[in-house]
Amino acid sequence: MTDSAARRRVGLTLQLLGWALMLFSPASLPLTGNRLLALVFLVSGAGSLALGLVLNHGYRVRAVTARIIRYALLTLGMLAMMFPFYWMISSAFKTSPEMNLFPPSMAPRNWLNFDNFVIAFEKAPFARYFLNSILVMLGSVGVTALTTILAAFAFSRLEFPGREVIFSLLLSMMMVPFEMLVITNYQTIVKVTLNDSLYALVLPFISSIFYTYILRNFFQSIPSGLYWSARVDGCTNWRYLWKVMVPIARPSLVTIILLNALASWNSFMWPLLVIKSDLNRTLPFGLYTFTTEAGANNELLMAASSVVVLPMIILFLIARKQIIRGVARGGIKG
Amino acid sequence: MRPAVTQTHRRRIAGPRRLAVHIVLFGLLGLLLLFGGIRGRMMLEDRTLGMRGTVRADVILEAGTALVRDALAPEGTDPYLLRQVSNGLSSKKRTLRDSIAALIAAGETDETIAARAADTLSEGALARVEEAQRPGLSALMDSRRADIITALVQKALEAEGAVSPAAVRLALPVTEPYYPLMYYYAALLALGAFFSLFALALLLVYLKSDTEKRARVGQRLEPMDYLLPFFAGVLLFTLYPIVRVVIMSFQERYRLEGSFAGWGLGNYEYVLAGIPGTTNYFLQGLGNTFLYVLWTVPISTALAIIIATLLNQKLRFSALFQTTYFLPMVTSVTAVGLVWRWIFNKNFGVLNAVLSFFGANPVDWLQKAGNSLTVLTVFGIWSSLPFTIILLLSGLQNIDETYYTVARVDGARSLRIFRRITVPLLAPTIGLVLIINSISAFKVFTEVKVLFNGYPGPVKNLYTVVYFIYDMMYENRELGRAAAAAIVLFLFIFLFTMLQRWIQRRWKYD
Amino acid sequence: MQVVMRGLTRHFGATRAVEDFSVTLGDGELVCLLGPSGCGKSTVLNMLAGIVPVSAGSILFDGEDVTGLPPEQRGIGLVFQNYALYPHMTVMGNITFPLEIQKLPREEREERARAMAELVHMQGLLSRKPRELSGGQQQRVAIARALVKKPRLLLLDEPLSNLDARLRLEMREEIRRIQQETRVTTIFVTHDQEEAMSISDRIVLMKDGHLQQHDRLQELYNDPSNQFVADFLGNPPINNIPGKIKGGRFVTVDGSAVRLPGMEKLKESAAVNLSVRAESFLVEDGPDEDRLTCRVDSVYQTGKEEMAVLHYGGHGFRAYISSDYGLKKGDTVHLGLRGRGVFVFDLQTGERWL
Repeated sequence: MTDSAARRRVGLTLQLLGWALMLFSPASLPLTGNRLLALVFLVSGAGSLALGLVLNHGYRVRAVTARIIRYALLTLGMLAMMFPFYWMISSAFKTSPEMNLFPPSMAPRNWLNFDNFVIAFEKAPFARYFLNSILVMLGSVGVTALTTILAAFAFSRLEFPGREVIFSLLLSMMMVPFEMLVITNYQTIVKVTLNDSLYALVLPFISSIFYTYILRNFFQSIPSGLYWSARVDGCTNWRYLWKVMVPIARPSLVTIILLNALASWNSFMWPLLVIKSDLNRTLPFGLYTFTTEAGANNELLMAASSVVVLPMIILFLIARKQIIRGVARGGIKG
Repeated sequence: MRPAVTQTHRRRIAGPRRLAVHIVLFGLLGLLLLFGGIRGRMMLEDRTLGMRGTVRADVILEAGTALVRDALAPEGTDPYLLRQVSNGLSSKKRTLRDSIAALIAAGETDETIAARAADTLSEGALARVEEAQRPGLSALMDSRRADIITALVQKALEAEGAVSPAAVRLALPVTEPYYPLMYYYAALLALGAFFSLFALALLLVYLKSDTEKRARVGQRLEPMDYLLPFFAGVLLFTLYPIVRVVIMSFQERYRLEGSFAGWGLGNYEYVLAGIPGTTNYFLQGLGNTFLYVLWTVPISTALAIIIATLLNQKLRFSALFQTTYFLPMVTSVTAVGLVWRWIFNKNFGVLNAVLSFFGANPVDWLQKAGNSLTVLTVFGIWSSLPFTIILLLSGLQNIDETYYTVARVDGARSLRIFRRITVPLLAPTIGLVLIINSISAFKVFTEVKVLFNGYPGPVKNLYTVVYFIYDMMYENRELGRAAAAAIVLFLFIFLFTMLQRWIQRRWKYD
Repeated sequence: MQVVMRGLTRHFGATRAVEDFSVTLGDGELVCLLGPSGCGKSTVLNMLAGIVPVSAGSILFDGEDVTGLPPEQRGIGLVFQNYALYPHMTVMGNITFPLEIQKLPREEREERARAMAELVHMQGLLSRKPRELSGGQQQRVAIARALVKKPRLLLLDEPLSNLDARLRLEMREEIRRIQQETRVTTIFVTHDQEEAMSISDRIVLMKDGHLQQHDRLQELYNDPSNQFVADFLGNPPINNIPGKIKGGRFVTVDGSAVRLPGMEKLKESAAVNLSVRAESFLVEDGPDEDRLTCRVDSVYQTGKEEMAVLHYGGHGFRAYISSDYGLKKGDTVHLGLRGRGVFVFDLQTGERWL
């Protein structure tokens, strides 16, 4: 049987099935009394009918339908992915009684009700948390970028004995999860009396083998001819690094910086361990402790969450392509 | 006309200079560290001495009191007598303390001090006893006096012995000034010695060579400048912890202060077998984590493949789709976790609202133990989708268009193309995704903490391995056990990954 | 199978990739689509394959209009520049894949695949994977895969561009041989005239989306329809000397003139090119009105022949001159022109006048 004949058969069958289901749907209601089931019958019937009709049409119709289905599915998925964010933001503008509705209302009555934000900021020093997060992020990103650039340069352009061996060892160390190192790092930080300070949030992360690996790869892709001709002209390593390599490697660097910023802003477990006093908390941790403050007032929590989430969303909107490319490349490294 | 400075000339100046600078810097660093170490050690000694004095005094006082009391009013004597003796003893305590302190300061021997203590104490005790009994007890006291003194000296010696610098180091409170110096003096000394010797070696080289050689050596030192900050971080916060944690896992009852009971497999026993009669939370955590991995990774990978395939076309609104599908990746788990917690809320959550719309009963998601894993899994799948989609999409886009064209020309339909061409060519990426996602699923922690209000589940039923580690570290301060748990976790991840790799390799050659 | 293309046109956006392309290809011919980059030859191929929709015009396979048909229904075999061999399948797997789609039973599939493999001399390597094969071997497999379903048309898109020079020579003869054995109508896209010249029955020359000429090599060479064709084929390239037609003679910028048979019929024109192939010059003993008086600029040897760079009419040109004449730099020599290889083209439009 040729493909088109088969297609016609299937199409007709689906159409018949579709009609049957749709007719059965209202009839099922008195039988089962289950609204959900009746709805399912109706929808699947309609779908089956549509599919059957489409299959029996020409190539063009089928292609267009395929596109429609594609967009529909993607939109459905998109709604599912976005829903929590919508919920977060819409709840942030609801009043307390609005939150205690069941079934919950889809949108707050007053979209400009900033009360929750104000109250949250009063109850907990979110501004301070915000500042802390920014300071830590800037410090962490800055220092790490520096060590990474220097080390990546050394591993790619400078010669020294055991270079490759050392690098392979470093790569193998990359496999060890932070959750294991955290125990000793915690002890170290406590012992040098740096715990409960912002330094503790920056120091353990000043060297990242992962970022160094990425940058080194990029540096290696810059032809060494460039380096040697610069050397012949009398250029020092330092100058070459900062005047030539870093500008060329800017996209890679931007990626590393973005990923580092994200990781720093969103980190939770480490601040949870080392920070005690309220004033030194970073945003995610501060948010977490705020849950006891807020108690049953989830609208306050939603407001606070929105504040925590907003900067990274903005960053993402600005640097979307970079971030995605960086993640893909970083992931591919395995 | 001035001759141009050639490149070699410049190097000739720079080399020896760099060598000299390094010698100075490393020398200074070494000396500084040595100094710090020595200072730390010295301060430790001082503290030890001080503590020894205190311990001595305390021991003599306490033990003395006990011994005298036992001598004068041993077990079974008249309680009235006992009370008199006790009163007498305690009355003397304060003055005795002062006089002991004075004696110690004066450098008297233990015997002298013990004798004084014994005498003063018995004096005090006898003073309170009834006239009639006094002579008898006094004689008793005299006969026992020597023994008591010997015993006291013995105890004092023992106690002092226990106060070694090592013990003091562990017992010091962190608030002590210069604590880091005292705690880490050994490391400081070692590092200081290392750098000083290194500087010395460089100095020798410097003195014994001509400018050429100096330049060359200086040149070879250059990579070090670039690597030092990086390696400082790596050594201190990656390499050292790795080694330390492994060692720590064998130190039983290792506490945050640094003290531990002894070497052995006790930590592993605790972690793997637990204490009989109590719940072994580690095994529970391991089980939960395993289930979590087995549920979230395949489901999210499958969903991601579908979504990535849908996205792999020139779409309109691609920017919109990209933003929405990848957004969860950049947002803090804490914040998003709170929204999910609210969504799962029994009384006011959206999920239950939807369920009741379809006539089902609202479910107690967060308080009922049976639902905990489901809640965690749903959240886990949702959060891991963006990253997975990105990787799979990238893999799909790496598949050359011409493969599809040739297959189409041969008459292949979409399903066949997908099955025979797309999926096999995507297989390496899928394998990669599975490994990466399972590694990160093994480390689940924040999600639990946020979803369940800081507790591992409503009835402590949703421990995960990392949660256990955190608990051990933070709540119980049992670092040794945490270390053992972490090592077990690492081994599990390692083995699981190797298993996956092996399976994938077999699968590829089929 | 006979292929007829009528008025084939392809636009997308503002670009006109192919314009009014009409060509008929005979059954069993090996035809080459030749032209510089961007001339539209790949577009024509893609339209023939059905990968790219046609803006106007029609395509007939043996009289059947296939213009609207999707590729899988046209019965064609396709070989890409990068071979597009499925890397995860063996050679056997690759070749049998089209037959799988046609749902042939396994034995028959493998038998036909083996036959194909023999045809392309790959019979011993059926269990290898593409990454274990050399460039030439991969191409053979690609060809086998395209031919295994016995297509009525075989399309090759720059198949030899990825190979090194030596392999290229070998493979083009292989392609010729395979085509002769199977007698399948074959269209071959390339920008390399040597390739085209050495194996095709006929050549279709294109430029800027337009058909320039479609003929056997000899005709293209000896009877070019315009300046472009004359310039494109031939090594060394044809000599072009600009000038005017005046009073039945060709007059150059500096006044030298020559009268050739047929020139009296040409109209008085402002600008033409006198185009002469390097081998169409004859050394004569003295000046005459149908001879060119030229000065020798340099002389050098190219293997078997001697070539001279001469000066005439304000322009240099190259000619094959035997060393017997002992020409030296600075000599004046009188050259006559043979009957073949001499043309006159309009300087502006490239149209051929003579």
